[in-house]
Amino acid sequence: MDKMRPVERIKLAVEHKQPDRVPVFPVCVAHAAKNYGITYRDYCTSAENLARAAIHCSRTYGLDGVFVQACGWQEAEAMGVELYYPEDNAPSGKAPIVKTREELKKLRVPDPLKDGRMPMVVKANELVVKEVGHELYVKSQIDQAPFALACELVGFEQAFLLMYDDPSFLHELLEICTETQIRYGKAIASTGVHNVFMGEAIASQISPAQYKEFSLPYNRRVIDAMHELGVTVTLHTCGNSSYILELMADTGADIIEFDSMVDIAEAKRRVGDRVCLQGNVDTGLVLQGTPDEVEAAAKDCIEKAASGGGFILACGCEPAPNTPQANLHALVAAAKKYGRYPITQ
Amino acid sequence: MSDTLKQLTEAVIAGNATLAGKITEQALAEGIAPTKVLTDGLIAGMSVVGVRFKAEEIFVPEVLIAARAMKTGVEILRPRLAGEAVPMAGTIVLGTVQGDLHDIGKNLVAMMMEGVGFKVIDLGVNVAPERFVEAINEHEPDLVGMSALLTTTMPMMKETLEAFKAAGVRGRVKVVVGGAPVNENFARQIGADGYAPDAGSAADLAKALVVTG
Repeated sequence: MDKMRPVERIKLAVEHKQPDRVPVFPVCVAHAAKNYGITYRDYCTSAENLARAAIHCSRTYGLDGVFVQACGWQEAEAMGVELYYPEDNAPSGKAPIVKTREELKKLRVPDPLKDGRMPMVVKANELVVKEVGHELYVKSQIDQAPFALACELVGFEQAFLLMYDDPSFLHELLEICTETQIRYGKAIASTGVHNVFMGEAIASQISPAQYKEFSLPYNRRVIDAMHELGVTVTLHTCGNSSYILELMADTGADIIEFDSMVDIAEAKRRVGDRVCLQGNVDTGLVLQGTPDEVEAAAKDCIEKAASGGGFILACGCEPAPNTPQANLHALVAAAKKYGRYPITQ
Repeated sequence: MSDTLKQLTEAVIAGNATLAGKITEQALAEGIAPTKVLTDGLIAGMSVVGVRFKAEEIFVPEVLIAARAMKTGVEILRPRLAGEAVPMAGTIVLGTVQGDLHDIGKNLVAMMMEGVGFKVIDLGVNVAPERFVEAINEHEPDLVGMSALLTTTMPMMKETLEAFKAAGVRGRVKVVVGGAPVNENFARQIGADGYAPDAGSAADLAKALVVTG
């Protein structure tokens, strides 16, 4: 039987200590909506729905945390990007809004209590913290790391070209993105969440030198601001982020989440003493494999990364909406079966 | 090879569009055949970029600037190439599957495919299965490439393949898939002909599939 409260379990892991067992916390978004029986559009536009679906998902599987994430575009939306809202899929930006210096000059840091769906996300966090914050670890999005947000505002290809064509333009834009996330992060931190999440899916596609120039210093500023408020930070990438693991740890993030393309044993060796690792069972396997295969993959992750603490078991990325429940149950069961501390390698 | 073409190759690799344009004009002025400028200068440069990208020596931004340099040269050559028989590797229809609006990966694949000499029909993002089918009928490609960035949209690849079968066009094309959440195993399960983990490998895979037929 588990003796420890889930929130304490994750807090200890984040502090590089050994809880009673390995915490398990796959970050469900679209799957949470589906599991709660509502469309993605209804999920990502209502504080009540977002909070209910997130809590429901954690309860369904007995996760150690609750993840509150509406979508990856709401900061850009609050800054003026028009979104396309499919009925049952995540929204996405229609077109970049910063193409010229004039447009850059006009860009404003949004007010998290007024603009777009930011107030809705703040409200959802209030609801979640009030209901389960004493028991479960509450992780909220802010969502895009400054560089990723800049990419949404100017367009991904354009952002990459600007690195060569006009780096100062990109740096000016990154200042605004950083300020945006600090203000948004403060509003969310004030609800009492334990952790805020920043994603930079695109970071695995740029060189370490580019990460050092265009991502790391800005991430560090947001993370420092959150730490001043006593809130820890998760930094998430997609794809193969092996090149930048040390740089991700250098941002000061408390947890790094990475995809299954990264060798977790190598990650443990390289940065496991500096940052809590969260991952990284192949999300495709969790969608298409059997519960036995998921259990085996989870066991493998635990064996490679759990020793000494500082590890949270999860999928490499967000589980697909129609992921079989049995597979997520198998993931959680594996943490209980193989994740009892002490664990030695 | 002439020094001029060698310089052109280097300009593409370095992603210097201005220089690539200048050297393309110089090569033509020297009387080098336009098809030779294309294949031995521009495409040769892009092939090196593909190899380096695959070897993880360079990253997406470097591929983008190289592709832009290549395009600058191709635009200068275009009027001179009209009427000439340009040898093509084949035709590929590309698109990001329905429900998915990401295009950077797919665009890179398009650039690499053009870089190795394919004619690319890019259907864009959020492409419905029936639009892929229409494009197969219209363009009679050798290959169809499907991309998905999201775990939430990868099941649409299977549905698209099923639509090909239902429309009776599956046997007429090879289908390759890619994208962040996709892997070899997934590709096999849904019945695709191939999977490539990155844009450089995708171009190699496409060439191999066209050769084997």
